[in-house]
Amino acid sequence: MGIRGSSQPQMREPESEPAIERAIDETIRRYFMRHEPSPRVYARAISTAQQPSAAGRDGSTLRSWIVAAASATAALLLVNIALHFFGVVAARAASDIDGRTGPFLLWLSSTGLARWINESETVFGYSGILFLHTLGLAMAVGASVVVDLRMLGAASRISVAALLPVFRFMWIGFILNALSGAMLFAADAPRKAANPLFEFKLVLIAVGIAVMAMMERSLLKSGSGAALVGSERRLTNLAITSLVIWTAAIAAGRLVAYTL
Amino acid sequence: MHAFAIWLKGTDLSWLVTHHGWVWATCEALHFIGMSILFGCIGALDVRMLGWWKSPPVAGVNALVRWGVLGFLINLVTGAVFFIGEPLQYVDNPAFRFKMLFLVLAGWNVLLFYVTGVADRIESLEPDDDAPISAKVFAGTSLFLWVGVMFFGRMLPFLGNSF
Amino acid sequence: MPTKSPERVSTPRVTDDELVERTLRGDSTAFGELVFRHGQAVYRAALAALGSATDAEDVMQEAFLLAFRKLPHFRHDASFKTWLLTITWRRALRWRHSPARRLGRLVSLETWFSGDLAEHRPTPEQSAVSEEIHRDVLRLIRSLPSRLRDPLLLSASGRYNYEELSDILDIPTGTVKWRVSEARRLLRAKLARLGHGRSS
Repeated sequence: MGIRGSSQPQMREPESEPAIERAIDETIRRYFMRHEPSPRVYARAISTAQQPSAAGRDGSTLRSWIVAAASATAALLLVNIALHFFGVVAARAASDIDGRTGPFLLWLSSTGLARWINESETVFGYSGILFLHTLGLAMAVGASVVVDLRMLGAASRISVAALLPVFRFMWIGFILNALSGAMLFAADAPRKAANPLFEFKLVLIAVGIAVMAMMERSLLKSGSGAALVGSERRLTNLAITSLVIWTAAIAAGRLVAYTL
Repeated sequence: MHAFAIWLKGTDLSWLVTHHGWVWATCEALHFIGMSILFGCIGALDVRMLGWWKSPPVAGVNALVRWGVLGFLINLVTGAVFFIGEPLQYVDNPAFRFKMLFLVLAGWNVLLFYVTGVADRIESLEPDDDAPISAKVFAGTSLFLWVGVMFFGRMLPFLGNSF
Repeated sequence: MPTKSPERVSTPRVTDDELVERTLRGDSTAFGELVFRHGQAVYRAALAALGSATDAEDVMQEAFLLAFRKLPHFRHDASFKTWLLTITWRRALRWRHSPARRLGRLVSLETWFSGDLAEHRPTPEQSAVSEEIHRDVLRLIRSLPSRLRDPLLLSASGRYNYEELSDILDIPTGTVKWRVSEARRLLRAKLARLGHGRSS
């Protein structure tokens, strides 16, 4: 028999060399025969080539407005934060907090709505709105995570065009949070407004939304059913940025409660 | 259970968690991040089965579930940290008990989903295919349960003893 | 074989170059014919690189799209097929190295190149070779370093001469030859250690 060093009991004749070669070839051959691309892939390969990047329908005007408003607010807040840090406003604020925060915020926190939110014992009060805020966060960030993961290569069977409806959930979450956030803010306006960390959180959220909106526009423009080619590096970078921004926004949000 | 909590509170580990302020805050942030990942990925699958998002093949969305598991693990660990740090805040807290209950039910839901073979049936669904009613039931229950977990988590400071 | 779509240009003796010309002139069916002709080769090349049928399908689609976009830049110095396969190969490699894919594979429950040969009914004349050796061979192929495995599998995925392989893999012809034979030698040695064949 002549097999040295074999630890297996001899159950069969050792194969001859040509048989080994045949076995290797046969294994590889079978491997390739086991799979054929489905007709659908052929059809898609043909059709995507036949539809050169269609001028995808533009993102809705509403979204553009939201992004614009968010960016403007973010810019304002950034300036405000900078002023905080450079002590320009701090001195005045310390002595005149009511004056600086102004009658508007005081009025806001004294409105019926704000008082009701604060004092309501039911689940529809402060705790309920807080819950909705958490839910919106989970939706918005969750949807973003799904898109970002796909852009970074996970779940590759999801075609990039199939990702577009996911953004809808992100926008719903964002709007839910904008509304619930406004109510939470109203209930506690002066303190929140004086907290630079809170403003920073808003800035981060604005940036996060902007990044996601950029990704959405990119995907819209790339045409139907096609994998993105030219913009791939950009999208990967956007995806990483998005993940970082949302993580920071969440961290900032949590820390606001500690610095209040 | 209560006695266990008291004992836990006296341990060094518990002291460690509460002594360093950054531990709790960091874990909180991570807990929310894990929740987002979990909800995003599992929610994606649920939404696909419920038909609100029909464009991808189910196998593709299934590949996201492993990331959802990652999110869950993050939360398991951070949740354990919270419990170790302040067990007395949780152990008698009805909101906490409901949260755990919903969590267990969500786990059951997943288990049944696989054990009854529904998971295999939906694996091969192509884009735009509708999922069977059984899958939709699992998906709807899953969404409800996870939102419930989130809800009671949010209620922790409000329904229990003071934080 | 894929089902033929009605618009297929079915004159078999139109050359690839001619089809490229037609596509560039705006003939939308000409590219479809190219897809049909080379789809399987592209798919198998992707499969050789990635080991996953679903990933191979995705790369196949991307490769054709890329080729379509780059068509104006195709210099007819190489054959269209080789050019297309080079695009495919590079795309597959990019896919292989994407960061989330690496991470996903760590936590993944699928085994890469999972070969359940029991699924595939062997043709009668081949069932003489034992199933056990097929499983071992597949497992050993998977364990080969990718620089040996790639040329081995790519060369087996279609009928290519060494010049074509060298173009696709972007390594010298001699290196391709050496790596393929080295891969086979390694396989034989490892198989021998498992008890198949003589140890040399």
